[in-house]
Amino acid sequence: MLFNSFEFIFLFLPITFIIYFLLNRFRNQQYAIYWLVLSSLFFYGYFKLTYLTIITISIVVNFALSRVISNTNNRSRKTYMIIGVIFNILILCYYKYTDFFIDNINSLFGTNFALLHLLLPLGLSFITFQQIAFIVDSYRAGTAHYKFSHYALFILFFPQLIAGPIVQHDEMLPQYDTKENRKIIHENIARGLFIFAIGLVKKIVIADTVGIWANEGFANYSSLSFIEAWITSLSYTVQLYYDFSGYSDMAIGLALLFNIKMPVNFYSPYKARNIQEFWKKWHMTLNRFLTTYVYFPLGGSRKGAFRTYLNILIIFFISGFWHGAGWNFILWGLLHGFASVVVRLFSKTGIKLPYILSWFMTFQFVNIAWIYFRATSIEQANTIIAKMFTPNMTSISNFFTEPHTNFAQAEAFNILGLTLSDPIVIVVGLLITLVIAFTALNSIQLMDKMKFNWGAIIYTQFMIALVLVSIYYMQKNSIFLYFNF
Amino acid sequence: MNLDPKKWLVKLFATSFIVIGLPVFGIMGFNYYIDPLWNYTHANNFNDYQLGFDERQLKTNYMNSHDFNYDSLLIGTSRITYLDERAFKKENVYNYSLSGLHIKEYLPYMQYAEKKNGKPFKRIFMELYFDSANAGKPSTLNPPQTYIETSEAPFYAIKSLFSASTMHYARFNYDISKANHYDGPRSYTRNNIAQTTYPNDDMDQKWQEFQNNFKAEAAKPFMYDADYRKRLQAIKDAFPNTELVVFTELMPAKRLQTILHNDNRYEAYSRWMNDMVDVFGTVYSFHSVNEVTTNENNFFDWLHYYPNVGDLIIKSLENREERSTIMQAINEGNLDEYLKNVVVDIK
Repeated sequence: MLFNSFEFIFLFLPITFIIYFLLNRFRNQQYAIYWLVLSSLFFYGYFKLTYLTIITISIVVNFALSRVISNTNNRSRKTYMIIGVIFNILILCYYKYTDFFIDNINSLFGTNFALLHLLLPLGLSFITFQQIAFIVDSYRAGTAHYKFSHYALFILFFPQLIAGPIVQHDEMLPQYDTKENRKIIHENIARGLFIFAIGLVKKIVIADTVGIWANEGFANYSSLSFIEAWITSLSYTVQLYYDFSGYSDMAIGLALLFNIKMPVNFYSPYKARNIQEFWKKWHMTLNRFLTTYVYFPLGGSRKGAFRTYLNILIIFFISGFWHGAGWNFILWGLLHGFASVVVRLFSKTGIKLPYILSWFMTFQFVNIAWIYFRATSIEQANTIIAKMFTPNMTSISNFFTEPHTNFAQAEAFNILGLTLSDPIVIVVGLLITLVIAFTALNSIQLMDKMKFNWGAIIYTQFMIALVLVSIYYMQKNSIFLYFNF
Repeated sequence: MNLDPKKWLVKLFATSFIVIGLPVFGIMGFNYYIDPLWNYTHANNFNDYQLGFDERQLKTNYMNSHDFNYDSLLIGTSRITYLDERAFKKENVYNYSLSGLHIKEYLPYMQYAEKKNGKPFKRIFMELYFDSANAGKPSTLNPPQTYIETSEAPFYAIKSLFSASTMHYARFNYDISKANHYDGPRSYTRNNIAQTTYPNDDMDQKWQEFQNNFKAEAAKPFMYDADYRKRLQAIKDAFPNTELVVFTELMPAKRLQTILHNDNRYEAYSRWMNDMVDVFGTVYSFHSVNEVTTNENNFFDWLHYYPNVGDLIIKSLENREERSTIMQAINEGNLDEYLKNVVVDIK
């Protein structure tokens, strides 16, 4: 079930919360852990019951392997570790990449192998990375002191299960046993609800609304004008940021209700001044995983300039391919990889670009690269980008004066007399959401600075009211973008 | 001044209940009271006129919100929505007729109705219309599964109460129920019965419109759906334990004859009747020139009749062995003769 769904907010969450703290109070912490594991399994199985089999097998095998690794003192440790890593990669490859490989083999060799159309279990990409990290850490440092129930919760904990943050055992598992966390901590609940409300606004009010323009633009890509191509790309850039960071905010807020602190995953990425900085602010826990478990083992920056650049390209290739089984994702990853290399090379010149210029270049690069990320083919992405760089002043005036067909379906959405296909609504809507992303304090900063006063009450209620107004008028059946990765 | 977090939470919940909760409950309460989506069973003076703005959704919702246990099913297009299911005297029938029902939609909706019924229907009264064989008129609506999934979605009945769209129809239904009058083509009672007081005072103008449209349409050949027969066979095969009573649409004689006097349409019509008879054995045709189809007062446009005609159709369908002045049983034995006689010169 989705975090923004009725059943989650009004049934699953309150029931899980109340029983968790009742068990903590009247039984012991271990029962509460069992309860969270059970409810997380329910949360996951609610999407599709068959997912439970795959995830249960995966958790049991990984935990067993981690135990074997921790209890083995000879060379076999490394072998078991490699088996564990391969096991996880194979599961992911099977469900996520089989059709991609079959399709490419068919194209390359003219064969006609049938596609399997396997259903990718939700969150498997995130779960795989978390389990690989655990297996590798079992080899490096030993994880024998963890109980199975704690490990299961570490993987299954519902706030992070579907779309991260990608958490590490040493930051999560100790929290499960902390005595202070057994009691309801009102400050955590207040801050958790506060950031959860912000996440809801990002997802429901902004991402889902702006997503209507992005979807229409990409669907009608061949007939877009110059300005419509820009609107399409910017809409997706806005949608993806608010969607994914909104989800992360909700995850952080939900975990906080249970006194669990999760790592920050977004920190104003569109304020970044170069691509390296961008990746320190966007999907930070993915970046942390790739750096710790791929970049450093490959030698990081310790083996000379060429190897450093190659390692950078490798991690961005993996990042791209991890996001999706398609050449467009690989291209997107490599574009970011090359941009990172260019930033490193440029930094050697000692030239410092003006703040506005470096920020603008970075944002536009990210904006254009997202087109490959969203497109269903490289041809589609190239077409949109070509249109973006074929200026046409007439198309701008036509956009405001003539009825346009490329965003026609947005006309069905009318909020207090404002139609979402109205060019003014589109342009102003995008400008406001972009300016917020460029200049406003991010949700983590807001949560940290939150004071327990009437202002915060009004602010929270305003967020809730925005969400309700949006639901009331839009009645959307939305799905989080990152669920497919 | 900073509050204690616990006090802050109490104040947040208490004030939110007043400034947010009460308006939300008010909206949901009103939408529940009127229930324009047919998700509940209650009836009152302010919801006895219901707009059938999306019959696919409403009638599917009705099946999920009521105790669905019927002997037989009635399915067809908007014409059949005017048939009062209570007029069936010998069996308990649910009218699952839907505007513009496309030939591809029949089977999924019929199967869903059978699934909800929990047992095979004794009979399915199924209206088939000539244009259902026209491949040039594809379905533009969402597939049946969309409506079914929506209706079956967890908590749909509650969630849909908080919606501007639901409020729009609730207010509309409230207004027409309060006035006890709806001036559109049809509204529904709380029990799936269509009602209308729609006037037929502009039949002449509508006839001109029909003629113009038909002239333009007839300039192109009738694209007979190559899979039509297969579709009928699939319907028949899907209900081995149910008697399928297949009947044609009833329309004004003037309209029918205009269509059949076009050679290309007549050829397609012959093929259509042949396909139906081949698959179902007997087809009950309401295509004839008789006292009902020639009396324009029975119709409010050139497609739709008033509910009193619906009663006559039900009477004929229920008493198929008896002689009817408006219905003929067509089978292999009399099909050629029927096709010869169905075209008549009328003024």
